[in-house]
Amino acid sequence: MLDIRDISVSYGTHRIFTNLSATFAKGAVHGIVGSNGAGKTTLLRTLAGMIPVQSGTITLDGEPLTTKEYALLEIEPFFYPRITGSEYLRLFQFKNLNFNGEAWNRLFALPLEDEIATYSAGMKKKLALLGIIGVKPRVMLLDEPLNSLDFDTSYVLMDTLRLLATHGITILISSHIVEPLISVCDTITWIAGEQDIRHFCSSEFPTLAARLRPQGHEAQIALVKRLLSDSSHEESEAR
Amino acid sequence: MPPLLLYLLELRFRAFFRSLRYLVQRDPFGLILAVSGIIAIVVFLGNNIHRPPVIAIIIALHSGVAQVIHNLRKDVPFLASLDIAPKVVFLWEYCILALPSMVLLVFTAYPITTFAPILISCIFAILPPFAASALPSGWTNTTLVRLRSAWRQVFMRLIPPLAFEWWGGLRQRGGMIFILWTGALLLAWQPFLLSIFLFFLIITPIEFYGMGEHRSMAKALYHSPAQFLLLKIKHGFRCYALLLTPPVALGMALDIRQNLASNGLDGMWEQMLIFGGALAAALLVSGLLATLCVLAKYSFYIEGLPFMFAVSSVVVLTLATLWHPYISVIGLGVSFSFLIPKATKRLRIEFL
Repeated sequence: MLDIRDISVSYGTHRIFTNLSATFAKGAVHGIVGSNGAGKTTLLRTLAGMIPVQSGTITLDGEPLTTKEYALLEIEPFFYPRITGSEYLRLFQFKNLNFNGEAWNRLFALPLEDEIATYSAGMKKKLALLGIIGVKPRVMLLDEPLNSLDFDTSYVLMDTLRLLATHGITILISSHIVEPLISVCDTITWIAGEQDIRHFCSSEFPTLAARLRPQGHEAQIALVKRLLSDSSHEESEAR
Repeated sequence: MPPLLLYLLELRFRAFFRSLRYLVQRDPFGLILAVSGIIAIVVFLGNNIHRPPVIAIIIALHSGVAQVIHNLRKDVPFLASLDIAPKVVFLWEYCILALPSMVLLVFTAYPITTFAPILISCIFAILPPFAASALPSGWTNTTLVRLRSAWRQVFMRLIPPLAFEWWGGLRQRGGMIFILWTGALLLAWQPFLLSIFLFFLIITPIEFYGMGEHRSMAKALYHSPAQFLLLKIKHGFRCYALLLTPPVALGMALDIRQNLASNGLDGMWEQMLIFGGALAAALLVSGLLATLCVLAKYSFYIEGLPFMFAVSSVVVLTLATLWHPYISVIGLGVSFSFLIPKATKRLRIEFL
């Protein structure tokens, strides 16, 4: 079980979380949703030890979470310049000797002998995912994994994650849209504010989806209409 | 050596040779010029190997390149996720990078200085890189944060609004520039320490030009290559002058005060002339730095190469020739004759 107890995180003087607590069960897929800037990425990066906590603890089965136990997929994964896909995947063999990159690549059929610089954004994400899936960490932290993935791959990924969870891996997926998470997650955590974190189990997902449905965007649409008509008015005057 | 570390170093070598191959195919003339420039500098350093300034130049070259590379690193979390200590990887990489400098230093009048590049490599390996992915963890809610913010706000008011390299760079490296600038002012009475701080104040902003902005940002300012380059040089000159002139002015003022105290008012006019000369030199260096940075940036603008490395190498190598009156003319001549047509051509291709 991944246990977060009373953690506080801030960027300089800007507070992101104050005394945040959450528990994520082992061998399950957990979603994290929230609007842009709510702190989804910050939470995952904090769990990965990339952002220091000012107070509180993060433990896995009662022990502090270490780098050996997690793998993080960042929104923009890091790749060394001018290396090929197969060279990148080979790096993960040093972490898990049983990892066979070529075999795992049958999942996405990437051109592994090509330089990563020639890959599209979606292909880069798939490559980074292969590395993370292949090392089979105890905790998998996936930051917006569905961004830039095509429709088919998204489904393949979701089913793969469910299978990985049955192997005892704890998976945390962040997303700013709740709909794709509903089909795959066992629980969803909604980051609504600095101290406003709400947890939903699968039976409560319809309630969550209803709460996160966009509301009151008529005002924004009216604003866009006004701005467009203003700018066209200015253009005609300038002519 | 751990097998993973060995493999990482092997990957770096492979990447380097792929870049070379790419250059041979894409820009053989540029590559020949760059290699000739490097060979010329090495030959020149070799011929003057027993002169003490050469030792300083070799060490400064290594520390300049190592600093730029180190500060741009974004692989700390990635290396940590592979269960390898990033500092160990950095140390090995920088020690390998130090080998050419060490080979040259062995033949100087002071072979003991051979260890200086290794020492510098160790220092950089220990320090956390200030790359985009690094977070301001060390600067949390202290008086220093407020001081830095106050300094940055004042400094940023003086920066031209369209000098986006400096806006972005100061947001990212504001802390470091603040420390260097404050250090240069506080230690202005000590010429040797002042020159060290000035050196780092000169090379740190080179990084700001190593991030190629999106084409749309540059295109908004573009009318013709000459107009665009002059505009960017003007912005860069103003920013560099803001950084360099106050510490130089203070250092010279303190020096003059000391001289006047010991010699009386006899040499006052000469001292004033020296003061003016130092300020003019600071402005000249600012202009030169801005010109080199801008030209180097738009010569290699948004190519698949290690862009930052190309920009910093050109600027640092050209600066390295400045210590000698004749060589500096050749160095600047070669750099400008290479960079001006290349930057102009690149801009024409990008914004046609």
